[in-house]
Amino acid sequence: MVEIKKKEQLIICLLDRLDASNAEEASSIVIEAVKDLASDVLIDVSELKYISSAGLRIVLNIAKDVKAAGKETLLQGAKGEVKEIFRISGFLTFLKEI
Amino acid sequence: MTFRVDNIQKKIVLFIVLITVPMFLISLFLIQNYVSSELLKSEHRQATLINIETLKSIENFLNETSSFTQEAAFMIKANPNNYEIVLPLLKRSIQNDSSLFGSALALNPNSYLNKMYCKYFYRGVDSINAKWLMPPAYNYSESDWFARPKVQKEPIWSEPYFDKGGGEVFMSTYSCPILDVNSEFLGVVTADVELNTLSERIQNLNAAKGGSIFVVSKSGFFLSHPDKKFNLKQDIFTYAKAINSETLNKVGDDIKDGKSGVYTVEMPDGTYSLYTMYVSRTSWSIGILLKNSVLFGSLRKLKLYLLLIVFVDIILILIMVVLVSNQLKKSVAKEEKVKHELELACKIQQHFLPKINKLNNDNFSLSGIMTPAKEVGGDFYGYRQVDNKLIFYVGDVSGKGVPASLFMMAAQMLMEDAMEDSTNPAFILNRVNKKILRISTTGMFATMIIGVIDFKTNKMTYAIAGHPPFVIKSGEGIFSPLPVYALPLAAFEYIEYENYEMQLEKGASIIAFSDGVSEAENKRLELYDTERIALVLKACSNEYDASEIKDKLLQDVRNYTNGHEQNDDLTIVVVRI
Repeated sequence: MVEIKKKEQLIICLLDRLDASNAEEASSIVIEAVKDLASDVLIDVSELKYISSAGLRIVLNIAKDVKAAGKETLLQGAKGEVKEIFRISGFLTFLKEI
Repeated sequence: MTFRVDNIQKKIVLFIVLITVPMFLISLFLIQNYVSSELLKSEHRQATLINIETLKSIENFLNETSSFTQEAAFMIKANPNNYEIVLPLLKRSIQNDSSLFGSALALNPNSYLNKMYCKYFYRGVDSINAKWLMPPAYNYSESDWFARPKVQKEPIWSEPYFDKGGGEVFMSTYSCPILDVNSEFLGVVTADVELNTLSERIQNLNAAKGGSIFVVSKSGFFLSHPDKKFNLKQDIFTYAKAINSETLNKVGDDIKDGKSGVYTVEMPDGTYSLYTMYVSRTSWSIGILLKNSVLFGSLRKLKLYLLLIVFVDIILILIMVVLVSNQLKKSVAKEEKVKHELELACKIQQHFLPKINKLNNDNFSLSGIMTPAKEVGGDFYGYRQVDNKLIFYVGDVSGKGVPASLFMMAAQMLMEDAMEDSTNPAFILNRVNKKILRISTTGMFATMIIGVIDFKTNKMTYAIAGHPPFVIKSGEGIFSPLPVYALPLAAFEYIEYENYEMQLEKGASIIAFSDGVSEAENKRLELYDTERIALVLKACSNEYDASEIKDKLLQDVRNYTNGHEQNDDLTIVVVRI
């Protein structure tokens, strides 16, 4: 679902599936993680198989919080269907892909 | 629902009773077995103690009253020829012991003393009298009290007898043989012991112990009995006959045979346990009669208490069951209410969607459907005809359920509001985005695709906010134009949406859908994908109107998911010009 790592950046790994069934739980973990942000945030979706709009909402919230803190949100590992969803939803317009 | 809870309540009550009652009965049975065996054991001990105590009392009494005879026998043994030396001792003993009625010295005429001699002292009114008991008036040497010790060379107690014309009391005669140093039988010294004192003493001894004691002679005669009617008056056989008890009759027989035993005797006033003990010295038997109802009274009390405890226990459990199940009933009712409210919300939400989901006129046909994954959904669609233009849109709020549906209603109202003022898709999106950001603080967003077809020119103007693009069949081509990626509504305020235009051929079909279609999953969690929509559209006959195309697509999605749970709201709008 979601995993948090702290290196130079705060790494948020989205895992397997992120949809309405687990979005709320993931959201609470992520909100805690991006509190008092001191670094850029890297969202790693290489292990993500599916993301629904409820999952996208979490990503949007991360991006908003990160922007409010004056930092940048990066996206890594998007491919296939996941990348398509990110693209169609316009999320790639504010997530910097690396 | 109420019926079901009541049913459960009844079931629980039934189970508790079904489990508790047999358990209780089993434990009662075990307790009864254990306690009654313990009680019997303790009764046995008690009876034995009383028996022994009674025996001791009898022996003490007899020793007290008859010990002088042994003294006398010893004196004669020491000096056989001077046998009369014991006479004062005999006389004095009678004087000193009120239980002693008489005493005789009788010599064996066949011994080397070679003398017929039998002097008898007995208690008179106020002095000790003496008389001779000699043949021919009284052939003492043939009487039992003389002949038996002579043969046995042991002291004996005679069967109790009523001393008519003498003491007018029941007596037993103790005969102590006089043996010389060579164990030759020289004669006997006797003691006539009246038994009233002993009888009373035994009953007094027992008064504090509970139960009743009796002492019977070998012939079954009551030497001591708590009831004055029997005491020293009747024998056990007469008594057994009187109360019609075979067992007691058998007890009498056993006593005759010198056997001890334990018996259960049915008496007129209840069941008794009888413990008998044979006293070999006197050939008497002691019997202890204990009433069973007294013995088992404590057991009955215990059973009563247990019954009370279990009863209270069951009542308490039942009260708890009723309390808990009432609470359950309440919470079920609450759940019902929530469910009802959700159904109501679903209805209200459906009211926000177009009331007519199918249109067929000269210019175009349109058909729309929204199926929520939960009771209420976050998808929505709408259309509006203005002059010779058709505006139609499909929106999708992130997430689903009640929060999404509330957001959806707000978004839809804003859309309808904006459409009243403009038929410019980008303008509508920009306006809705700015307004919705003012009310949305939850990070929710809505994707949206909106198209406007001008039937004068068959030109479609459209704008997209993070939504999957149309699938269009125009002429021979099937395509899905996505000129630019734009963010959903309510994501960021700075976004400006743009219009795109395309020329449609007459007869073109346009499908707008939410990701609930393209991302519908089968059991292997594989997505339906936009390509399948295009294939369905391609397979559709040119005769199909919008409604038929929509049905075809819906059917294809259903076939694909094949019963797998719908996990997102699903919306399709088809327009055919």
